Amino acid sequence: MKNKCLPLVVILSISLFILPGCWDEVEIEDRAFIAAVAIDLAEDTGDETIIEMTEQIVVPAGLGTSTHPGTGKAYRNITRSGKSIYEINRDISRQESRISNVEHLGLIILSKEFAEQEGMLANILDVFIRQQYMRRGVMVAVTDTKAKDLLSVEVEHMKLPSINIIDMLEKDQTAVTKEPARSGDVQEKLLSKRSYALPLLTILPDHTVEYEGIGVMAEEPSKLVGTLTDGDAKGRHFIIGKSQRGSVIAEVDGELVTFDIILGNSKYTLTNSDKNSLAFTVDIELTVSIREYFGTKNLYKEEVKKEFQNELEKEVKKVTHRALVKIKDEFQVDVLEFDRYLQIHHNKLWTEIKDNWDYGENYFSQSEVTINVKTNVREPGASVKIKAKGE
Amino acid sequence: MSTFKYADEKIKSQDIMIAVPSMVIAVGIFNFPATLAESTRYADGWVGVLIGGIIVILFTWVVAKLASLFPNQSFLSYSSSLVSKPVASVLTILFVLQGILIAAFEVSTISIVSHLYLYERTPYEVVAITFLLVVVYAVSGSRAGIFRINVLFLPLIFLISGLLMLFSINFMEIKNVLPVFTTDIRGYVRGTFDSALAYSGVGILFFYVSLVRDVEKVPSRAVFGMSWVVVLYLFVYLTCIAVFGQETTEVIHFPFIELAQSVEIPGGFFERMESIFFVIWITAIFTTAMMSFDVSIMALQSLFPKLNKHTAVFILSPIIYFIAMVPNNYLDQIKFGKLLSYATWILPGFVAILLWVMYAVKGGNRLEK
Repeated sequence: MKNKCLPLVVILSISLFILPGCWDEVEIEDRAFIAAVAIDLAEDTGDETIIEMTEQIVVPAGLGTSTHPGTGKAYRNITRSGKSIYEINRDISRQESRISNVEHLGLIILSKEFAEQEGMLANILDVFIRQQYMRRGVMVAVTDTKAKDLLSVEVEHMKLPSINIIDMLEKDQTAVTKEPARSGDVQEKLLSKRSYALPLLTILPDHTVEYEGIGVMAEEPSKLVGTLTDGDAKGRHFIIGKSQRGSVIAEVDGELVTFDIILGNSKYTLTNSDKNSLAFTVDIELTVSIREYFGTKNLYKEEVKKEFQNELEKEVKKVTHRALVKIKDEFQVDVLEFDRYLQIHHNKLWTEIKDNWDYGENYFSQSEVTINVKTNVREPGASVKIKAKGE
Repeated sequence: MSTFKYADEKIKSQDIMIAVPSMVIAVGIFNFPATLAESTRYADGWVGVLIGGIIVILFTWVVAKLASLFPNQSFLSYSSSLVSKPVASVLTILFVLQGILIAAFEVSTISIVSHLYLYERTPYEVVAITFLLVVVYAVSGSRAGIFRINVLFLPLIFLISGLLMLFSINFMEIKNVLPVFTTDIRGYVRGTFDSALAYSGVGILFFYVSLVRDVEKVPSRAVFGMSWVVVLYLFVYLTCIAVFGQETTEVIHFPFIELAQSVEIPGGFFERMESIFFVIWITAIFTTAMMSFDVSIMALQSLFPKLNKHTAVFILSPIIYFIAMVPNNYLDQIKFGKLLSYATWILPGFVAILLWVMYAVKGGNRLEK
């Protein structure tokens, strides 16, 4: 009996030393979860680009639980400047009693000035992709104000400013301008050397964040070349034909009509495949309902319906044309997904021209694009009219 | 310590069906999409996976058929009758070495991958020895127990991979997959070659078939088991390409792990799927390490019939640990993996051809009992 017990005792006592020896154990209370990162250019930049990074760190006590919301601020923003993101993060951790943890990072906001620096987005994105604890689904957005300020815009229904922004980027109420971009997607675009769009945020005077439009990122030189807001962003989405929800305002005989888009899509066709004079036709089809009408026409008549459709078509054409001119002639950067169309449907031609598509020779800006719009009013609304003609 | 004794050390042909995929699915699945995406365009690599898969299925059949021609005979005894005892002994020693190397590779990969994604500060050596000790525990027991563990783990591996692919549908993009068939013929050949290398481990059949009771069913069951692997690899490859695109898959070191990281399941708790994913994949690597270790012991015991199983385990495990610690950076590790995947094709391939030729020369049936 005694002989049998001894080895057991020895083994168990050795295990005592091994069991607590988990090197990587960090208690959840000791972790500082970084929820968002904002990146600006530091004020006093000499020759080198100095990055100013703000981290939003969650304060769990302020967050509370769903039944007992905490009191006080639920976040802490810390700003430091430096040359490398990783280095700044280390600096910030000197101001923080807990160990920083990036696994729940959800948002990277860049200021416009920063994104306009050539190649900078690609440089800073590297750390967010290379670090194995980072996820590829981190949202990326640009802002035309100081990125740092967005992280302190508090809203009433949510404790964390960053979560509010992430939710805003994800939901599709703002469909026509919707363009969520994730760090993984951006890496894909950078690797395939294609231009891309990022959501553009801004702060309104009454201290709320607004989803303003999109920022156009060019490849070669890799930087932000311009922004599309309101109508232009809508126009782009009409051309691309994805998530075309939202509204269009047109005038019929001087009276305003608001159309709500139920369904929409667009189709690209290549009509001239000579690479120096490429020509595309874009057919946009929209199915709409009428939501607001200031006039008194009877929508249950065929010719009235036609008239409404014509006006809508004219309006959509105008909007898309404006967006097209801005993107194709001014920015000369393909964020209209013609590259994707060519890749899938005309792969031979695409392999030939892809290195000179929207840079170098820039076949994109030399191409000719025709836009056709077809609309269909499907639902006139619950009531024909709410007031009589002429008062 | 007393171990549970099973009635006998015999297994059924179904166990072989499970053992083949358990052996083949290991580290290769983490990074084969990356190597494959290098040589093919868009999603065309699937052709390579399929052709490579068909080749490996044929190879599985060839090996299983050969081994099942000699029921209840160890590799040493039937190869001796075909190619003389000294040659057979050399071949057996080579299989011992190969088993040791595969086990060492799995041990070192598990420590590198878990160091990269799970424990940043825990030393490699500690992770490796912990893992190795579990493997040692598994192989010291009954051999039938090994097959039962496979039966337990394999469905989980398929289930988790299936779930992972299901949840990544959200992230798939059609433009990453289209257009099809744009790769040139050389790309397909390289792709086939690369993906064939990812299916390695058929060699265990030379040894395990001797344990099977209903031996005539072995070839078809082994082929069936292998075809699961091919199907799994096909889906894994297509999912990686559809989610990341070919250019990105090419630069990600472990695309399949990265896939597990990008998947987000709404609802909080399961949002981080990679934690479950890692548990399952460590068991997948565990079964591979366990079986290759076990095969080396089996081969060693056939050479030295008087050798006690536990003695063999205690001789081999320090060697495995030592070899596993030799590659000290990621480049060595990749080189190690590459050489090993060639070796696991060349040795069983050579042996299979040699034995089949000798079997044909010596008139086949005469030798069977």
